[in-house]
Amino acid sequence: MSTFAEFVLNGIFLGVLYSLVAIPLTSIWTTTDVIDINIGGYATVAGIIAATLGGIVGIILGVFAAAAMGVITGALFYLFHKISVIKDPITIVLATFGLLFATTSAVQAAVGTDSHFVPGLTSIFLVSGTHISAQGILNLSIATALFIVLAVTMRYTLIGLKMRAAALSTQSAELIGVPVRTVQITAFIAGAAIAGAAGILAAISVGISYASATQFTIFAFTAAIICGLKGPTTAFCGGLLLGVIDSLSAGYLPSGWSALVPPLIIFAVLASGRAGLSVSKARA
Amino acid sequence: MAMLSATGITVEFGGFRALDDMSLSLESGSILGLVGPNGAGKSTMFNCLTGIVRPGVGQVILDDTDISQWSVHRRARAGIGRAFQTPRVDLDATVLEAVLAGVGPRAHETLLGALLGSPWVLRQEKRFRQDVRQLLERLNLGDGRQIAGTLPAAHLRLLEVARVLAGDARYVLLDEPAAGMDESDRAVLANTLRGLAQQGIGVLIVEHNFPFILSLCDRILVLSSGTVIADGNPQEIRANRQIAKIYLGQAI
Amino acid sequence: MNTGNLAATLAVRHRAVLGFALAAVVTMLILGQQNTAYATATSILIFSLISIPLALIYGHGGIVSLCQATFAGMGGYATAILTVNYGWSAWQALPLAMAVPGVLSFAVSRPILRLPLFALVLGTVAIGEAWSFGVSAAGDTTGGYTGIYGIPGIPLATDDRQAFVVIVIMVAIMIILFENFTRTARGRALNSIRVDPTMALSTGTNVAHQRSIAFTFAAAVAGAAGWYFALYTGYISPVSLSFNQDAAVIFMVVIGGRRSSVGPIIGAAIYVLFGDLLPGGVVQGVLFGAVLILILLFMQDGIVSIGSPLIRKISNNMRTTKSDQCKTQEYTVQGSGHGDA
Repeated sequence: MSTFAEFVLNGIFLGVLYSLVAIPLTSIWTTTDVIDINIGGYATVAGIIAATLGGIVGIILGVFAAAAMGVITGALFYLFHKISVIKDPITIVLATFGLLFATTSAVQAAVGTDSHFVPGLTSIFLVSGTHISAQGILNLSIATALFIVLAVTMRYTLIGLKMRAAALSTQSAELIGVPVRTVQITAFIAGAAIAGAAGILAAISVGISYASATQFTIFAFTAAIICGLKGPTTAFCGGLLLGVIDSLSAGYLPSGWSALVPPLIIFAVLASGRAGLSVSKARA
Repeated sequence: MAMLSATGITVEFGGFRALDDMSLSLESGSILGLVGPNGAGKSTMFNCLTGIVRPGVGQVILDDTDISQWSVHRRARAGIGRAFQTPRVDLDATVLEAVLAGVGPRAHETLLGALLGSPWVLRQEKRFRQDVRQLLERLNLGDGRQIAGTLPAAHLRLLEVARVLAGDARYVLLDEPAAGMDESDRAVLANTLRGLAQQGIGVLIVEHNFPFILSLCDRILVLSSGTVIADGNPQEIRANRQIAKIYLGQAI
Repeated sequence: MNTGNLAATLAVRHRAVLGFALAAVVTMLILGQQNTAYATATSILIFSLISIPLALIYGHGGIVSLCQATFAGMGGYATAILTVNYGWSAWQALPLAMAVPGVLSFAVSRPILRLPLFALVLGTVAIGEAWSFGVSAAGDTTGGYTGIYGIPGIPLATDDRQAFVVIVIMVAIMIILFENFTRTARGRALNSIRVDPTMALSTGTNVAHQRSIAFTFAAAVAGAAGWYFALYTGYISPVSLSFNQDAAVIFMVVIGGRRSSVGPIIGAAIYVLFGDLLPGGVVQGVLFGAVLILILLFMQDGIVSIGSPLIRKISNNMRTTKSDQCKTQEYTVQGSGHGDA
């Protein structure tokens, strides 16, 4: 019987994983105007590789594999802009959907439909009647550390400055000499790597399967828009909030119905019109 | 009184006041010119009349009805046609199809009628196509089978105007339709607009080409920084030296 | 002359359905009375019935719906529940099979379609997920993870070939509706919505409303496809018409031809036949993903568009020369003082 506090804490521990996929989703969106529907795919592939290969090697290779997928997406993005006259902004989004489809099928074919796990910390602390998992603390610490590194990079380094410039306006950034295409492709690669880290942590905490790709994308998107699709900070908070809501609904709603919560949140936020999804920010 | 008018319009974007207590009235059968330097508020005025922008203060009145709260498409169906400064045209479609896009306000088919291809709908379609072909002929835009994207810029502007005219609008708002046109195209345009006015259609035209405006319009409004600084017939405007100063950028 | 023109217009308008009918008749002649291949052909047409409305709303209207198959699933479940749990006949279930997804889609369309299309894409994915989870969780009515068995067969059809005829007729009707609609002011309005919503507004189109109508229409037709699917297979479960099929349907539309009434049929044929012929799993998924991306890169209007640009280019070259000649004549007239000032 879990207490309310435990639900909230578990929600936070899980929520940081949502944050870790939501942050790259927003970064990619603000720099490229593309919603990368395969964001969950990066996480899934990394998690599966870490789970099947095992050990530190598996984890490192998992992150690399995710980054490699990011390279593919970035290359596709570059190709689209170079080859076609992009009349339809949805085109690239559909392409990422194709990637999601391919990723899901590939994972299913490679490792079947079971959930896979990466062994992690198993100890559980008891603090004034509340159970706190060590792995949860680790998740939170890693995610927060990554977030801080990201925030510092964006704020105080040159590359961060360039990324923010490109996010604000690609045309203006080009005019002041920012290599926009490079920045954009970097966003894909770094974003994929971060999502990969999230996938590995998820593989430790809740297990990962071929279906995780779509589910992670849905979670990432929901987390990203809860506080408005503005940037890494709102994405981070959104992830935590979503995690807590998810945990509470899993705890208090009859079984099975809690899975409906993220889609319903998506509707609510979209319907309220505050999702922050107006295009053309990058084209201003 | 058949007229489209805006009274006391004030529009602010953030801290910037685009229109300041501005009023305008376009009578049916007349040609009203709107001139002014860039940023004077001409396009904003258009947006207010068509409903894209809702002014903080002021009203838009169509033939004694206050349409300030009407949506854009409702105003279009009520007979307000608007050509945009940058032509908004399906470049992948043929010229005929692109202009046909403008017959919307005249089409009253139901969903079922459209899906089933009822005789009434087919007849209406035929009529639209005939009308548009005649329109294309009058404007020297060819037989309509060319792909819109292959047209030179000036013809695209003419196409934009054609699309507006295809909708049988009673008040036609044209935003720099003659930009980049040569003599012959401008002449065609001028003739067309005079013809419209003779039919009782009110024409509001924004242009930078002074001789063109002076020769075409019954009345001219000069705008600067969101207000009307001069209002009169072409002779009066031509004699007004202050306007020349504003246009040439010198202080008054 | 007028009747001649009318006949010509009718011919162009209906050449798609005539071509389709011909293909269907030929197929039936080849397959004969009994043939296991009818299952494949029927499968292709069920997907077609789900995809063709998507070509209308996406190819013409720019509405990317990634839950068309889900709407079909709703229709299928409505059919299953009504026939199995309440003893309705198949015909009685049809209106509801269309109404359930219709009403649901209309209810969610208003808030979602107002927003930029990115929101729509993920909103429709969310619809699919929500339905999938909801159906699995509502065990009592929907049979939970196992689904519903024992659905009666296609009315009026005693064998596979007759069942095939029924779906042929349904698809033919959809093609006719498509071809009619795209040739009217409403069809052009939908196109304008895709090309430039501001222009659509300025030509009198209630953009939000028309988008909702289109979205709902596609959902209702998908519901009918789900009705047929449930009756044909006799069984429905949460995975019958779910995310995988939502993805497949968009694939069919993009690859076959997203603005064409018969393009999706070609896409469906490719999907079903390759799925049957190719080794499963990785190859299929990766291949489909790759083909989708290639088409998006190089042939955005799908396979059916291969012929048109070439033909257009040739006839354009001929026409441009003509209009250049006309221009020269105008200038001559001008020069001799006949032109206007």
